[in-house]
Amino acid sequence: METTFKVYRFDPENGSKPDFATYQVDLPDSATVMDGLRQIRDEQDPSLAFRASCERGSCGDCALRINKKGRLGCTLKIAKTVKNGVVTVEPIRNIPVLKDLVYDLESFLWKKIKSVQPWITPRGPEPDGEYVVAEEQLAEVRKAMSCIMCGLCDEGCAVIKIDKDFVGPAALTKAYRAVFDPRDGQHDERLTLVSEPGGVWDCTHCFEANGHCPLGLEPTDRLFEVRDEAIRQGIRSGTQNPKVQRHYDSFLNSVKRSGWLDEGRLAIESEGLTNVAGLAKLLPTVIRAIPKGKAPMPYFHPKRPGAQAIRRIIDKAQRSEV
Amino acid sequence: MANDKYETHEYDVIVIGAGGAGLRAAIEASAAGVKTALICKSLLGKAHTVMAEGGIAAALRNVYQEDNWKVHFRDTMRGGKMLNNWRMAQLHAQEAPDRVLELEEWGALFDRTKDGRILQRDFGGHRYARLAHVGDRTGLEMIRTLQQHAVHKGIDVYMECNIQRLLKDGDRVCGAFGYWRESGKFVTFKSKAIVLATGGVGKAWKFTSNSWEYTGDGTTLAADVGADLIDMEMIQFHPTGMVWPNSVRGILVTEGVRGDGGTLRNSEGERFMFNYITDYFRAETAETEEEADAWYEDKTNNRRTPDLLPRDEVARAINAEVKAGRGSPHGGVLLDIASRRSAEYIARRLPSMHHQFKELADVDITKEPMEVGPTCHYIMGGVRVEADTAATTVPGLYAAGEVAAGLHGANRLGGNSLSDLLVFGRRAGLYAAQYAQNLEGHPSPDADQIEQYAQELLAPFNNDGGENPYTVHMALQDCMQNLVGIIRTESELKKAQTEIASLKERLAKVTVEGHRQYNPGWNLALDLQSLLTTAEATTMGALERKESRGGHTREDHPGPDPDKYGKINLVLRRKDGELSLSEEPLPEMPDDLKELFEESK
Repeated sequence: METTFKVYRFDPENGSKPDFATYQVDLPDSATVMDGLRQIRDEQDPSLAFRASCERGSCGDCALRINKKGRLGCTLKIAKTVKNGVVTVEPIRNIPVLKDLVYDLESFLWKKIKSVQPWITPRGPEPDGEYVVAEEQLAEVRKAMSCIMCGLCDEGCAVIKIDKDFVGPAALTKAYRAVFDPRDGQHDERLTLVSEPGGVWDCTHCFEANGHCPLGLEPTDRLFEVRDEAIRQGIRSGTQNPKVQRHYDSFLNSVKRSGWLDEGRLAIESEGLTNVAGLAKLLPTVIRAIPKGKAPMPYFHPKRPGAQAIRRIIDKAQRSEV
Repeated sequence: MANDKYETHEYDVIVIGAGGAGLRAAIEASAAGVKTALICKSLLGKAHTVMAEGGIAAALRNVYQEDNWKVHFRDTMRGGKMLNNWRMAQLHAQEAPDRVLELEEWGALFDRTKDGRILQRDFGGHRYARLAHVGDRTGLEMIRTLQQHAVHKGIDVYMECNIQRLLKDGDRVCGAFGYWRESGKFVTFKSKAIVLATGGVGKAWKFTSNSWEYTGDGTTLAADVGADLIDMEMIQFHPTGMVWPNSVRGILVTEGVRGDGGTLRNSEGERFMFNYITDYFRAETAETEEEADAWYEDKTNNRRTPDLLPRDEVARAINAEVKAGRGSPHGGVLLDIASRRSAEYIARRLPSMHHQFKELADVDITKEPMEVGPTCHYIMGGVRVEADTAATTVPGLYAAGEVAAGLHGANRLGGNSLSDLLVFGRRAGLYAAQYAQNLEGHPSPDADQIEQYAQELLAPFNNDGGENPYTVHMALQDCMQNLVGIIRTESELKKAQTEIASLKERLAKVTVEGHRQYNPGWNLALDLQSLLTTAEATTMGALERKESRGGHTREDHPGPDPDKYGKINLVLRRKDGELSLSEEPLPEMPDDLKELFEESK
């Protein structure tokens, strides 16, 4: 099969801007995108730089943006991605490129993974042999065990794109694993850590991470489960993140009071009524929203039908929670 | 004293290679209180350990109470056709269980038995179900655990740093010299002790399960500073690699498929392994399909299926079936688990295989058989080490994991590699740290020597109009695949020697384009030097060993020669730049261990 490869080339040493180079490859239908890149490197341009190790989707070394989608090049067949005879290959987004398709993973991925301290600290005295772990407990941990740290969930993340401080789905999937490890002795400390600014509360629920994980680990769901566990344990905000507790309280009070959400009030109360700087930051958004009719009027919030019933449900849930 | 023209770091212990053995060594050295660095050629976590599938062999006795270190020791020695260093095999069998439990303390979580303990899986050549595992992604779990533990402990890690030369001060090593892949700039590590944990040499063959990194770097680094190599002729061809599509030929299919009930069939549907039971394993192998199938459930009253004979036996059998015209459409044989186990069981036990065949071959292994054939997988030979300390024959230089030799003899059992990494990685780290602690003064490499190495490494840029290094690499792979493969013969081995010599000349003239920054062509040109050294060593050993044993099969010497070659290691050493070969007797096994082999008869 004749295919045109459009490959991102960047060489910081020759001072030129990044550009795409075009190569023709001829490979059997079963060939993968990595086979294409290797053929280019081996036969046409030995200076083409990319990373690739296991060649079968188990090491995560070849995460790339292929025809505008984050994929592992080694398991993606050319035939499955080719469009009008063309395969476009770029480095993944949101990340400094070192050369061609080689990018700097330290700031993008590893610093973040380290920040959630994914190693466990066993609780209690060391057992004689191994820790006894029930099948149900193992099943929870297993949901995140086959993460290969390819970074494709972070690549797809809508928040990281605008906020580089968000720790992101990859690191939080690692955190998930430790949080649900029945042997871990630092459950609450860990939940507090991921509740800090940049942690679980910064996710905006776009579910892109789920769509991007090549192993199907559903990192968005893992992140939610960590957050739910934190709520269950009464840890709603980290030590530096009082906004989360305020947001939680305001949300709950609003629904309890009127049966639905007072969004304007939620924004104000999340920042904190005495937080002048925080409130001032909201102003430009409010001003832009008014002419479009999208600025809800806070505090003038009518009750919706059935508010009483909703209140009773919440009361009942809160009683059983304690 | 070096004038530090190049970026320079100083440590007590440096570990080269960050797979299981390197990580474990660095953790141990660091825990002993010496300043330790870990240097690796790829990114952390991408080393070959991550691709290990089946499990870690350790006599934990969770599934079979009858198991113990002596049984594991015996299996390992017999699997290695008794060429193993007995002391290494003993230490390995004794210490593996502790190393597995230690991994769990550091965060690993293996699959569990019904009562919540570590589950163990059947594998070739192991008398009892012995492999601790995580589905078929055991290596991933192991390397993540070690990596996170190393990061947690604050060990300095230097990634994408390719070490090309070891530095010496008199007789002993005092550092290493290499380059950063990212910038192409040179870097010197001064160090009192060095642990080599660089893995294998599989990239010298065309059909291989090994990734780009496995170019015999450590073996060559050691040989270049005068360390002994042994058993270099002993190459393991794993019986089950993918054979189709061509682009993925060689990619590993875990032995766990057979461990979990899969069976090999030829094109006539016959379970042909029953025809290849050698006398050596006859007493312990099932003779009928009924007994073989019953063995999975009841090991006390049945003997092991011949599908799980050691890897060398199975690889030769598949090779013979294909040659006899009973192969599968693409030149392998069929590996069938679909008709023998439920789809749910297969997906749970072998998720990675399920995914791999679906993605790469459009084959659903829960419904259809796989096509498999031998693939170059592992080298049993390598750097000669002292059993207890992992010390090489050069002071200050240690080696562990695949780069070291001795434990596996002529053939490695599946599952014994991951345990090898842990047991001897730890020992290498420990004794390297002790050596460094007892050494006075600072390591002081010779600046002129470093400068000479720098010029050597830049040489490929100075050639004009030569060939691309990739063509040399492909020629080497063809040569080793065709002439130094599973079945060898004198005339072909001699032809290979001539070919390797001419490839060396071609390598000296290859042209590298561009500059030093992340230049894969230049990187390969340098790695090819190691590949050619190890290919030469393997061919020399293969030519000299005039018998068939384990991973070395000679068509012209089909049987073992217990009186001569069964008693010796072939030792390779650099003398005046050239490799020279000598014979040395195997270490003598003490009588109490010898008895283990008497009893079994």
